[in-house]
Amino acid sequence: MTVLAERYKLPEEKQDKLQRAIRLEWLTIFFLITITIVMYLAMGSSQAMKTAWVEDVLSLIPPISFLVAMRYRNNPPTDRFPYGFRRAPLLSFMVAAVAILVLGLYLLYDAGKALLEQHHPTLAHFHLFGNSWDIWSGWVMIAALIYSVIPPVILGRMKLRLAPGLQEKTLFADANMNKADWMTAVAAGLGIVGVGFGFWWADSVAAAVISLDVIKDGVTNVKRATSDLLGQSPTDVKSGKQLGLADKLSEELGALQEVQDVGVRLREEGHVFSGEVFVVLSSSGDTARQVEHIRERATALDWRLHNLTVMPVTTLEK
Amino acid sequence: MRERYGSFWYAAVFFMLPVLLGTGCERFPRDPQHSLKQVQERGKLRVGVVSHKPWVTGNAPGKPGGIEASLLEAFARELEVEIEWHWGSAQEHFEALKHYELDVVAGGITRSNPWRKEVGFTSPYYVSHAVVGVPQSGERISSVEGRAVALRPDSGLHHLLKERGARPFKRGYLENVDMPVAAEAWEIERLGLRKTDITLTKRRYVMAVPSGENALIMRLENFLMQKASPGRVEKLLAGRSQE
Repeated sequence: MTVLAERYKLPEEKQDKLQRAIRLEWLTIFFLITITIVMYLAMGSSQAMKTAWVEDVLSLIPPISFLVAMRYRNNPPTDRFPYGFRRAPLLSFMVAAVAILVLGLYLLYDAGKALLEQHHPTLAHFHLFGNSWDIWSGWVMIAALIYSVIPPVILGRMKLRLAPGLQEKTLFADANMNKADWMTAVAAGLGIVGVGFGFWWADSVAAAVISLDVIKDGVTNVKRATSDLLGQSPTDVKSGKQLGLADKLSEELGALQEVQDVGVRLREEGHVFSGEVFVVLSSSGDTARQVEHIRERATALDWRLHNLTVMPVTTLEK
Repeated sequence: MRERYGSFWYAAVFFMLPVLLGTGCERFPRDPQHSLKQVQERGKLRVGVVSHKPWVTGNAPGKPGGIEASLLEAFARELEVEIEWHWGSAQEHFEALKHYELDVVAGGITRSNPWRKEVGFTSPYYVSHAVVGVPQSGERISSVEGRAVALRPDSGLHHLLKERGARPFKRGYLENVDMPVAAEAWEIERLGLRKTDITLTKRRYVMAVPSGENALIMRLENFLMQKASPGRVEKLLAGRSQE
């Protein structure tokens, strides 16, 4: 058995779900692009609309990084990168998360500045491509906001249903961001209606609220990317609780006849778990064969265990 | 899952409620600083004008003429108020507008004016094109490359002609020059020249109101949409040539 070039394969039934998730993400990108266009055309001089628009553009990042990850993370290892490329998407996600955070802070600054300078947003007739329409631009903005809510909320729900089964973190984060999108739209809508009622500050306040949501997204994603890159112990994507998989593995392997003592250390590596199993073997048989057997048993315990190293030792220091 | 659906519908209702309220109101959107209401209570529309032919003509302290002045007179009639004219520089007027000391500023302001961030601009009510004109009897041209073209020294068109490879000649007056002329389309017509397809730039004419006074700007835009259609503005521009 050669371990060096082993490639990770999803179980069959998960493969199906993953294909569905990929289709949903493509749909998400398509709708987000139409949304950013509609929002841009309706934006006018409203700070809240501008902020909501930036958030819509930013929400393109998770689906894109998910699809890029799907494309590249299973590339076979090379001489130069013998551990494969499973962590490459994590790196790009970290960069994107920092960008979201910084942009969120900037949007908050922008909204705060508009508030301090008492910027009164001018929302007049809707004007597009050189034509004025006999309708208040605020109504058009609200219509655009309503459109911006519907596809992400529906797609977000569908993705949320898939995410726990697949344990795909990017998918989960993306679905959650989509789901929270309606709050942004409500905030922006209230800001615009507020302006309509003569409260000039409503626009900037709404923008500030939305920027806080962007900052929250940024912080969540930076945290997530950090724990991914540090190789945290296997964790459930939904609850964020540790799975206790290492303990389960020790228990399972400790019950084996040939194992006297066992110590397990696992880490997340992208979407799979790897790590080391240290064993004290009880009999002095064919060590290599025993180790391979232990390894097979261990890997069978969870579908995401991959590239486990089983290391025979004389004693364990715990 | 059920509770998430619940919150979604709350959001939908939350959205619709103010919308319905809003449409039920007599005047929507409203002015944060009540400009339109105050104009009507005061019975006076305070208009800042900057001399800029042919949009606003005349001098302080007289009554201004020009297209925008006459449009604003009609607007005041519609509001059943009088006009209080204020002559001054654009800088002074925009400062005053920022502090709600004027209601409207006019004087051939275009949308590219950098004050657009500080005050409220209406949608452009008229778009004029700067074009190249040639004598009615002269040859038709499709390019100004390598040609001598006359223009006013302060027309802002010099660099645009340069970009197109023309040799611009600045002239104090454009009457009876023996070369193509670059100017606003209405001026080309006034000069009795024939317009070519060579368009140098577009200028989008707007009027300014205090920033965020949305009832006032909606009312003014409504008026401009109805009474200052491009056709009508062109008629006014052509009418001036008989003056």
